[in-house]
Amino acid sequence: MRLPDIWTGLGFACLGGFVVLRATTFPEPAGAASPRLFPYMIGSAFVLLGLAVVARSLRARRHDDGRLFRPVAEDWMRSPRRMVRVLLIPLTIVAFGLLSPAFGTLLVATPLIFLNALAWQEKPVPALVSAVVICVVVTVFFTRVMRVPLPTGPFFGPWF
Amino acid sequence: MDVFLSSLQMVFTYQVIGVILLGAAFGLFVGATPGLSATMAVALLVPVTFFLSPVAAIGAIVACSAMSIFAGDIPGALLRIPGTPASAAYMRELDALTQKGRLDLSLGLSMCVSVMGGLVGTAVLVIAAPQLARVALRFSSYEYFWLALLGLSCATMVAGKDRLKGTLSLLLGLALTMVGLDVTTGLPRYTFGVIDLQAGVSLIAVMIGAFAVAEILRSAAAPLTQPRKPAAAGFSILKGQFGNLWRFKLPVLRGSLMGTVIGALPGAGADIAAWIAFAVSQRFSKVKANYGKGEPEAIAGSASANNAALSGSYVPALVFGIPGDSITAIVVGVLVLKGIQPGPMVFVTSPDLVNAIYIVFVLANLLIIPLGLAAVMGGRHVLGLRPGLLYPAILLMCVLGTFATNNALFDLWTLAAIGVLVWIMEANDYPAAPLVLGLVLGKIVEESFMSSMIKADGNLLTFFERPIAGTLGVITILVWILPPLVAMWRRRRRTPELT
Repeated sequence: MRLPDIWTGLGFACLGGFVVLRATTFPEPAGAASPRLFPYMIGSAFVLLGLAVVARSLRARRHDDGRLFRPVAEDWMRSPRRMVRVLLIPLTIVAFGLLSPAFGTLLVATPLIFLNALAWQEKPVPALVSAVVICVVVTVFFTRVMRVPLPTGPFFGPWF
Repeated sequence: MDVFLSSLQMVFTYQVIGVILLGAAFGLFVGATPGLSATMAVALLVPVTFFLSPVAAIGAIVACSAMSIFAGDIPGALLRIPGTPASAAYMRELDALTQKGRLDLSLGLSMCVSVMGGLVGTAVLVIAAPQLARVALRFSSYEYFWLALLGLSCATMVAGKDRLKGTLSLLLGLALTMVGLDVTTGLPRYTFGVIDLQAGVSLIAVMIGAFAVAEILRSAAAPLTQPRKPAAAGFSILKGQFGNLWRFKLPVLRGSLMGTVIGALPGAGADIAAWIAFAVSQRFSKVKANYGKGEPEAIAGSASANNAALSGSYVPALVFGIPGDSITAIVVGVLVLKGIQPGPMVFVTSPDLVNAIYIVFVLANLLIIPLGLAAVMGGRHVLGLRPGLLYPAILLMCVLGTFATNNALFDLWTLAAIGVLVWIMEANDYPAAPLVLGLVLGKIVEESFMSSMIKADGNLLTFFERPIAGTLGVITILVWILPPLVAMWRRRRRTPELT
């Protein structure tokens, strides 16, 4: 996702400002070891360098064709298939986090991986078969080989 | 001798050998798959290493990274697509040889010189690391502060094409280390009342997010290409390779030594080593005109460098605890999670662990021949794998791997956020490697800075009083100010010419 440098520079400068402002609320003990010191340094550097990116972007304005503030639409944004594929990745992670404690790893992961496989242009039957195989193999690897207690939801027993 | 025998015992156990073999097989698979990098392979291994002994964990990472760097050559020769960025430098040579019907020569030579490069790099690591560790034992917090800062500063210089953006990425990594309890006072900082943030941002979630989820997002945004099944290769790739190694002994030695030195420099990894070694090999070659047309000497000079760079990058990581690239940043992170702080004291307190790491390096490099051969033979099936099967499986490994390390759902929010953030950052030329280096080194920088400030009672000049600290401090400051000064001087020189 390509954004104009002026935005990203301003974003970092604002983040630096927030880091410094928040640091002012930390208690300050006597002596040189203040918990504010390192955040002040990092926050100030963010502001300085973020503004340097903004300044550089503004300096280049005369060579620009008016797209200084406007993000450029990329190819993937014009393709609904690719857009779904991109959006589905963070959504899968978040959905797993929200649903797996209630429904268990296998029951949540399998439909999510099936949807992802469809988004990557896999046909429905191979997508379903691969989703089931991948989820069972990876889950069994973590629960049986690595002995990790993954969320089991309403199910119980050694295989969940 | 006792220490060496104890190290052998640590390595030659069923668990360690089994893990090394599995790590190697995984590295071969990821390296041979175009679009997936060696760093991604290592990042995906981290949750698994969390449950292993330190030797097994390092063994898996070393074997995985060495194999994936070699395996990157397989799609380079078969499909003209580099499997990892480290193979891009000499991919044209691999492909040109394949086009001439010499697939056996291109893959066989790259496999054998990779082994040689890795072994030369390991020899340098074995010789140089203890000597440097002896010097490093005299370091105080001042030296550590400057060394960590110098490492981070150099890393931003070579991490991407824009140094300013590289530094901002590094600052973001350093800022993330401030989340959690303050190192000196124990007071919570930037936790916003969230209990999960009191232990800080999960290093594993950040590493997997930055190197795996961001990479999946990048592939998802790109148009899908249906892979074609390439030509087959077999045992014939080993034919005549002893003769080739002897014939190209000088380029191999030069590439290996150069790769080791470049790998030891902060920020310069296997891919930069391969590009520089390729250029130097061409410069000193008697057959310069053949470069780009399938010259085996070019492969010998550069394929040895990228595997040597891997060993070289462990020198600063082991001796000073300062990782030079993203793979060693992950290694340092894994060791710290296991309660081992890499640095000169490791050579005193755990010499058996250090020796075990050397043995693992030798073993991993020797394994390239049998496992590499199997990968070359099976490579056509891996390369024919559809993205619809590959990427959802990797995504599931990312999710379960991140959750597995702390059993914390909060780490999944970090994973998603960092994955999207790094994907956007990289699309805008903000490199990911400095962010992870900053996150790994941030605690060392702040701890050494704060303890130095307490010792110096706030007097910054004390940071330059000790000879090594002073020298490192001056070098660090020069690294910051020289490039902009040189750029300004060049601009001034050019302006009168234009007017």
